[in-house]
Amino acid sequence: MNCNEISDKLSLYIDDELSSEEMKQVEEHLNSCENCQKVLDEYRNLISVLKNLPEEEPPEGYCERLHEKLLATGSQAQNKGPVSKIKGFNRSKWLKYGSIAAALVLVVAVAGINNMGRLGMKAENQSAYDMATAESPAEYYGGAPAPSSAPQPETAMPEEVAGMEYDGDYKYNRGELSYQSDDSIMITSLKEQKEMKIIKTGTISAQTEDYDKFLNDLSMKVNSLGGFLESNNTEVYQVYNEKKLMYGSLRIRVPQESFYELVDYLENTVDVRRKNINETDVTKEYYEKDNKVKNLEVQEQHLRDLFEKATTVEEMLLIENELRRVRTEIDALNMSLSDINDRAKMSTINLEIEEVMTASLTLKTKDSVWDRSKEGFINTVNGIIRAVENFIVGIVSSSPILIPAVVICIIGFLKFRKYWKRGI
Amino acid sequence: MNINERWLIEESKKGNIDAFEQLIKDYKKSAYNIALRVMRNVEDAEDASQEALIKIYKNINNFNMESTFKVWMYRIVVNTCIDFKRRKTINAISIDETIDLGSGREIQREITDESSNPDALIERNYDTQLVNDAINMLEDDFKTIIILRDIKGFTYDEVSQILNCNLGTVKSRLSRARKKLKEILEKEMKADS
Ligand SMILES: [Zn+2]
Repeated sequence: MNCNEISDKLSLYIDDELSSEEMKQVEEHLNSCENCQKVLDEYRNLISVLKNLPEEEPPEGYCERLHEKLLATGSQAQNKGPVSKIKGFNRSKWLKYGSIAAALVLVVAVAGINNMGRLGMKAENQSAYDMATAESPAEYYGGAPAPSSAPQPETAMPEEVAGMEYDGDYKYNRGELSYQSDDSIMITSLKEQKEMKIIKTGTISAQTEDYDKFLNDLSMKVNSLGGFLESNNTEVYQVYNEKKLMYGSLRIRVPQESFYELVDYLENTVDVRRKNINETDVTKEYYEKDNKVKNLEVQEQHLRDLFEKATTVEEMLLIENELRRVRTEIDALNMSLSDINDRAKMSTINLEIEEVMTASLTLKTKDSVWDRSKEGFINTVNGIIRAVENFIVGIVSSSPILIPAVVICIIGFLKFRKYWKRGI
Repeated sequence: MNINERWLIEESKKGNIDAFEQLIKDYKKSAYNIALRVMRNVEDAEDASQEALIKIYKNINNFNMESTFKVWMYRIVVNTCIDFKRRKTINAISIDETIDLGSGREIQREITDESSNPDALIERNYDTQLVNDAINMLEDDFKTIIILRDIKGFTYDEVSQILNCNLGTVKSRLSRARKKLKEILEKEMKADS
């Protein structure tokens, strides 16, 4: 082996990575060649210098910047609540945290109070509506004198806490508040434009002499009304003189405006034995949820703004968490809204139909007059009960506003009486 | 792998950032220094090394305890740095000069560091500045293998795992890298004297 070949192996020789045979060869050569011995020393020297090269310290703030990046990724990657990550926080961080949390709670609380005020108002509207008949909208809209008092406690609220850190946000809150009270007034005056949400359901038991023909006619009728048969369970329930008698349990969905047409149709074609019509007015529930969504969306926007302004990752995490919560709530509400929409738009009739040899259609007209008047009576009583209920709900929910108002009125009245007496 | 490291890894997998920071405590300086050698300026070194460490955190769930954490993380660090540099050079071939300027400053700083540290002034044939300079002149393949084997002291086997190549490649590449480095140094010393 010549010197060149040997010097190529020196690197591995140093690291003891040669085969034992090569090792021997290199050693033999090194013993006889001073030049290669020198090169080996140079390599050893170089490697020892490399091993001891001083390391540079990372620039100042390196760890802090890394920490923030980690926090940022942590919240994206692992979808765990921030709780596990805040464990090691020091006191000042908690303080900062606390103030943000307080600000957030306040946003929610203010929005909540706002909602409550509106709810109370709405309840009153609603009770007024319930008492009035559908033909007299004037009475209906006249029944809401309360709103002007509602915004008062809301605007009073921020002053109490104005000493806190998040002053800028309060201004925003206030803006939000005034927006919302405007909104409520707008809602009151524009209520005419609001669509009523009424879920109509009917449960009807009837008899027919020709099941197949009835079913055929019924599906044609339902189709022509723009509805559909949601489900159909038909079975043979009896065999009589070699004639199979059928029984069917049907669920029919028709557009709500055709609901009564279909009920009438059924009453005219089959012998209705039992009928139960139920109208549930979910207008209030619907618009309460709708308002809640709007409110939450304002909150969401506000949180986004806060997020933009957030300076530390802890703040961002907290706000992000709150944002997620608000989003989930909005989504859930929207789902229930679309469900209400669907059920209000398409009424449901659950029909139990029984095939019989001879149906007793003769009593029909007489019965239905009596039934209808009875039903009307029950409906009216129900309406009154509902109205009273709503009125009580309205009073109770607006009591935080009403009680101070009443107190003020009493004081005012007493003062006025005193003054009046003195005047006399 | 010791029990503490194993525990820290498990905690990191659960998203515990404190544990992760504890885990990389002894490695982040190394990561930064590798990045500094590859990038040759402080800002890029910070960005590249932190990108690598974040990548490690994000991917810690993919780490199985079979290989050692050290080997696994160095692989990510080396690859990320090389990658980062590639992206950077593609984006800015024309500002190569500024990068060189940056490295010049770097070396300057290392000299002052060293003079204030008497331990570093051990008698040697090669002085630190010259060696750093020479390493900077190596192409990336040679540079990384020198860093891993001679500076960080990984075994051949570990180096082959980190660089994802076979043992033969490690052996021949390391030999050539050391030879090249020695040549550069000799040339520099000749120019100096
Ligand atoms: Zn020789």
